Amino acid sequence: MREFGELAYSLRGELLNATAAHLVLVLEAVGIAALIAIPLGVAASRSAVVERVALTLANVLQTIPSLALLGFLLIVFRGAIGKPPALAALVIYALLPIVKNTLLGLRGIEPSIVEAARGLGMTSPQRLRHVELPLAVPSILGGIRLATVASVGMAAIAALIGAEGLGRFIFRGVSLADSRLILLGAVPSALLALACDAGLGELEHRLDPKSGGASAGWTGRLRMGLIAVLALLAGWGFLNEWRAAGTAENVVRIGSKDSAEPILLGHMLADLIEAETGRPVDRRLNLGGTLVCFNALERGGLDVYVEYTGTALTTILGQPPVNDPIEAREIVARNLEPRGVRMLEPLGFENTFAILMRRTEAEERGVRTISDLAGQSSSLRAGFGPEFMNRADGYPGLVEAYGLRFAGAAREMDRNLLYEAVRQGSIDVAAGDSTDGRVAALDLVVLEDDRRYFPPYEAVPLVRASILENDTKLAETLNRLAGQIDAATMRRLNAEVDGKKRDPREVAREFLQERGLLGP
Amino acid sequence: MNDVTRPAVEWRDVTKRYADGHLALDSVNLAVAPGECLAILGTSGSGKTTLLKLVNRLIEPTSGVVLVHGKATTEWDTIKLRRSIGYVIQESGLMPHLDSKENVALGLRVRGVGSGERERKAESMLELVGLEAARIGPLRPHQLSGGQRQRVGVARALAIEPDLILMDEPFGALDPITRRELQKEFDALRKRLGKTVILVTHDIREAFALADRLAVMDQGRLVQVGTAEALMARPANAFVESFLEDARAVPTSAGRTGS
Repeated sequence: MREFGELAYSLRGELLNATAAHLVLVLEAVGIAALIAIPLGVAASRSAVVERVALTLANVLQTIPSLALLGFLLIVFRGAIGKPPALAALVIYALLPIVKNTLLGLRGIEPSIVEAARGLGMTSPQRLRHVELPLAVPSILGGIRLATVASVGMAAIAALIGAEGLGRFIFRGVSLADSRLILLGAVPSALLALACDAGLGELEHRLDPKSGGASAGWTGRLRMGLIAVLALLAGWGFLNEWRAAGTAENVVRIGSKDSAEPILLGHMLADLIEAETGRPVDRRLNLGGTLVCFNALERGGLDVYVEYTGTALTTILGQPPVNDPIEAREIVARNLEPRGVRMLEPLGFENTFAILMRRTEAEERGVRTISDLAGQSSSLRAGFGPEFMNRADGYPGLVEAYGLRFAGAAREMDRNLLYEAVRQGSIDVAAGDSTDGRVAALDLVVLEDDRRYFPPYEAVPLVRASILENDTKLAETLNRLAGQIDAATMRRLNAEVDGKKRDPREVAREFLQERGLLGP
Repeated sequence: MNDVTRPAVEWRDVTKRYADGHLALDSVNLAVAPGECLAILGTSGSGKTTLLKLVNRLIEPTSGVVLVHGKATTEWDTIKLRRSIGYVIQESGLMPHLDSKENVALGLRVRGVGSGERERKAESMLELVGLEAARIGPLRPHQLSGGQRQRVGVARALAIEPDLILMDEPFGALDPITRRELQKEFDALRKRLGKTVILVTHDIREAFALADRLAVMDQGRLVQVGTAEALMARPANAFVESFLEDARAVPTSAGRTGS
């Protein structure tokens, strides 16, 4: 608990800015949604056809899973990550409650009042303006309140596509398996939702003609206080955004996928660029996956991120895996070139499936390669993650390629438990990640894949070609990491972050300094 | 009111059949003279409210013509027609989000009358219906008693200075004592201002207290039209007779009708 407090304190500046950015994103989304949804609700109250179309559409949009919607919007926005697609997603989800409540509010007006208004000779627009909308305000505000509270939660997911906000803490926590970071994002997010609920509830209460006034006593004062705090926070968020908009010139946007290793590498590249070229860097690290990163890179939402050749080959290019690392690299470079993406020099390590054993056991048995294992496999117990067990290029292919026959059926267990299971001896052989920090920490060894069964996954920075054109210094700087990081080094750095829960940015900087890569 | 030959409102052979097939009005012929107060009397479902709403075109007839000041309602611009007619309904139909003064001024506001004049007019109308403008003016409907709400409703109808006022069960939701009081005041006010009033009610005593003539409706048909005395003397049929029983039971309230 004390540790949590310290972490929160050390990150207080970032936390405040993230909370403010989170609120701004929500307010802008709900504001835009209200501008669309209220007129739509009014139109729906006037026409049965509009009602059916609007409600059906809003209902359908609401049911799209959020990740699918974000993915779709990334394509619509041509890879621009960050705020625009996040805003669009939130707007889409906020429409339904506002349309519905506008319609309900207008429908719920007593017929005698509408009749009196008609009898007074009010035209239809006059009735809307002077009678119907004012009377529907509490219901409309109720819809806005629902939309706001839901959006506060939704906005966290938008961090997956690089939007600012509290989601960044949550997903950083997920990527680094650090529950303190998750809480650091989730708790303020929940508080924000509660504050918005109470604040808007108070407005709703005040604008209700039947109550007409503030809530009594301390609850009313407390809620007004909350509104004031929210307003200040939103003001701060808008100010930050306005200031950031001014410095967008010649900024280098560095992305990364969502685990410790790419985040570390992203920080290294960012630090190098800042130190060597003086260009400002926008660190959009911890994005939700390969395609988010690559689409953004190709379409101009990102300038640099670190990819793996095997992933580029299969996931991005949709080609079959190639077992020769040099050939894989050439195919990737050749195919990305016409798409405006340059592949830089490999960093020096591969992050691939690795067959692991206890060091002591491997030495006793004289096992160094996977082929060495073949003769002894009948006396060894193996365990693998579900994905590895079921992929054709996982377990089934492996046993065939090397002629392995383990003792009993291979056990299927959670990937994260495998390392510990091998160390404790409940299994003897497992497939892990070649650069996982736990390999070194738990005294395991990686057996050499001597028949090159696993396709190569060399780490290579991918760069948008156009930013290199008139800045030779930039290419040179980015290539400084070439060949600098071998698998053992990467494992050690990963262990610092995953195992010791250290800040990846700090670990990255330390490494650059150790190697003297940051210049004199 | 110089044109004595022209009725303020006239229904000529008016029939109304609703979309669901219900025949609400069956060839009704009726006329209201300028300055007259006509009560339309009937049980619920008799078509009396339908008859009233044809006048300000909240309802359109299936066949026949409704004339207001000699001109068919279909020839009128609907908005202009409604703005020239005062309309008071049960439960007052006041806007819950507006205070009393704003409610009274609403008809003026939608006609584009400036705020200063609106305010003055609203205050004098509140005083006219016996409400203290300074005290009642800033209160919203939910802060008023039932009788006060109904007075505000009347003030709102009067504010646009109409020649013709339509009233649909205006005092129906009030307790008997308040109702009598309001009826008495309204009767005096109407006579002073010389307005034409069409009053829909199911209460024979209210009709006797306020109206010059009564029109009795039954199942969409006009059964009998005449003064209270004429009806009492020669009820057209058993239905009218049964209606009158209620009034005969309290002879004191019938005593004042001959005006």
